[in-house]
Amino acid sequence: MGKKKGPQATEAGRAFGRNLARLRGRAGLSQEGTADRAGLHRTHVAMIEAGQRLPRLDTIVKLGGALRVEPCELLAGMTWKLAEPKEGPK
Amino acid sequence: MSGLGQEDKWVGKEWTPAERFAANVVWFRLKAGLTQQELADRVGMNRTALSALERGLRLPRLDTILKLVAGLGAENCDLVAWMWWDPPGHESYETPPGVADIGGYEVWDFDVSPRLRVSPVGYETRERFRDRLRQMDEEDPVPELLRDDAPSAALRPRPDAAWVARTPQALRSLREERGLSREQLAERARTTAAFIGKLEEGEVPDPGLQTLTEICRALDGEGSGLSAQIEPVRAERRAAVQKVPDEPAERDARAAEE
Repeated sequence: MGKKKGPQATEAGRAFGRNLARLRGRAGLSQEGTADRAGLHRTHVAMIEAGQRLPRLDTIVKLGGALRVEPCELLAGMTWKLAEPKEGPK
Repeated sequence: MSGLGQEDKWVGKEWTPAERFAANVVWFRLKAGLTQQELADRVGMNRTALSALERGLRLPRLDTILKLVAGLGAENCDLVAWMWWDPPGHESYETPPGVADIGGYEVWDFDVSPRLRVSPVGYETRERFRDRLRQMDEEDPVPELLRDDAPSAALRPRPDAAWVARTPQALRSLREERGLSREQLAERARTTAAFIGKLEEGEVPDPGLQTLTEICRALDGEGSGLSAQIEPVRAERRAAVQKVPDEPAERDARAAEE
C-alpha cells in the first residue's frame, strides 16, 4: 500500500526526531526508558527519533507524557507550507 | 453553573484523543470561518476524509496535523491541546505503527489506554458551540460527537466471547507451525514477547485488530486460522465506519501537491 511521503513530510519527521532527541536528553532518559514510559516499543521510538516514521497523534501525546512536556513542545518550530490552491471552483 | 459548562452532558462524555483532536479542528475551523470543503481544499485533503477526522473516527499523523495547523492559521499547540499521557508504572503496549498507514490516517479501531487523558473542556459551552455550528449552514452541521444522543460509551461492540476464545489457539498454532519463539515473533511484529504471551494465554479480552493483523502478517499467515479470525471482524468494522474516505482521490491530491 502507498506509504509515499512527500519531502515536507520527510522533513517534518526529521524535525520531530530532533525535538524528541533534544527533549529526551533534557529529561535524561534513554530511548528505552522513554519507550517504557510512553508505552511504546523501543524500536518504534528509535525510528521516530531517526525521522524514519511519522508519529500519530496518540504517539505524540504519549511521548510528551513520557518526557513530561506538553505534547506540542515536540512540534516546536515545525510548519507546513501549503500548496497553492488549484484552478477553478470545486 | 461553574465555569465551562460543568453541567453539560458534553463535559461528562468520555472522549478519545481522536475526538478531542476533532473538536479542536472544528473549533479552529469555525473560528477561521471556513467550511469543511474550504479547509479540505486548502490542505489538499478529501472532504470526506476531513469529515471523518472531524467526527473523531481517525487519528491523524504528524503530517496531517501540521497541514491542518497551516490550513487553519492556528498554532501547533492549538490542535494537540487538551490531551495528556501519564507514564505507567507497569508494562504497557501500543498498537505497532505502519498498519493501514495510508495517506496520513488510520482507522480508529484499537483500545484507548486509560493513561491517555483527554479533557472535555477548553472551549465554550456546548450550546454556544452548537449555535456557531448551526450558523455555518453546512451539510453536516453538528458533528456526531456533539449531538444530544451521542453515544457516551465505546463506539464499537466488544468481540463475542467465542471469537475471543478462538484467537489464542489460532495464534499459538500458527506460531508453532512457523517454528518461531514468542521473542522472535515479537521482534518481527514490533511488539513484546510478554504481550504475545498474554494473547496466547487468552488474557487480552479485546485484542486490537490492527495488532492481530500485524502479528498475522509477521507470521506470513494468509489463509491461516488466524487470518480467518481477523478477516470477518475487519469487514464488519469497515462496514461500521460508514463513509470511509475516498483515499485514492486524496492520494492524487497529494501527488499533485508534490
